[in-house]
Amino acid sequence: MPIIFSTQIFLGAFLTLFVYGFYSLIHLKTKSVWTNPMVLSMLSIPLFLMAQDISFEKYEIGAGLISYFIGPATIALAVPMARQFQLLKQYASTILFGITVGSFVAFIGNFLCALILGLPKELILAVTPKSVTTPIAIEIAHVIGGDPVLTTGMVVATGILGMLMARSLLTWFRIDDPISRGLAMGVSFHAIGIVRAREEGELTGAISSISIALAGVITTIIAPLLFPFMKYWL
Amino acid sequence: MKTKKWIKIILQIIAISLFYEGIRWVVGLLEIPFPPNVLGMVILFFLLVTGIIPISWISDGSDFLLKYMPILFVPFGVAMMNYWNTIKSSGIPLFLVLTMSSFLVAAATGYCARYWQQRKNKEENSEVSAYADHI
Repeated sequence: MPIIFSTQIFLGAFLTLFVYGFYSLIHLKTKSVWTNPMVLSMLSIPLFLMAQDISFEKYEIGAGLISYFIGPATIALAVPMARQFQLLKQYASTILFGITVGSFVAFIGNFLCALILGLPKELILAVTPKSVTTPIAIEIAHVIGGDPVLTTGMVVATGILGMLMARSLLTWFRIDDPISRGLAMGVSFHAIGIVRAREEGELTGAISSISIALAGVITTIIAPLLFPFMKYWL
Repeated sequence: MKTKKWIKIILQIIAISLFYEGIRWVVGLLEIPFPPNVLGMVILFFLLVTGIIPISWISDGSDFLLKYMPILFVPFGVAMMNYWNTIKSSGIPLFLVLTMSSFLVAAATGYCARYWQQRKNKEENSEVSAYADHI
């Protein structure tokens, strides 16, 4: 094992930065959605740890330094929303209506889908907040007693699905105006998915980034109100 | 020039992190049942919109944080390796759940927004025609 990796307590942070940086360079060259640096890092770091026989606990010590910034990064979501304030005012009722309905349907619908298909309890709890952006989904997982790690996995998987099918799905549903498309993509597929929304144009992209933050806030409010009732079905 | 920009980004990220720690402290002190990061986002949004804090004070730092936000979730994704058995044992139903619920949410949001937008457009049009009648 290379000595630099075995002795460093910063192993986790260093390894994460290095691997992510490496894939970012590749992504810059290919510009393909298939070389998403986050997804590739998540897949290859475990393989590296296993190959080098490094325990996850050892990786985690340094990696905690990176996870810390999830808090400040969530706060930073306010900036794109404030930049789009004019747009938010202009389409206020449509945006609020679409996102509120979407957040309710997502929170209850994800739960029911998982329940009907008979997933184990810990997966039901991880699936329930999956339509919200990761930093907020992690907080909601804490509120409803789900596992933050499994929840992150579900959020990322949802984002990947969105990246693959969001545009054709909405066209198939005949949702064709840019505002509704932006809202639908933002509410159901969040950050990885809205790469597609940005491809469709400025309005759809901007509406999508507003809806990510707003759906997060609305779901944070409704989760502790609805969950005590949903809990009985578990 | 480049160094100056980096210093600006780092200082702004420190400022945002201090803001976050401040909110966390208040949330803990008053036992507010709301996640500090979401509350901080809402408060910052109002500070920015009302102009109490100009966007330019934090825009470089926040753009940087948002651009590289995905890396923050990598440790969580790596931790999934400890859950491999849970995922594997319900692989197909889990995939169905993820797909079905995404269809459902996208359809519900999209249709509601489209319905509302069409109704609003109709109202605006009828207002215009009512005005035309008066003339």
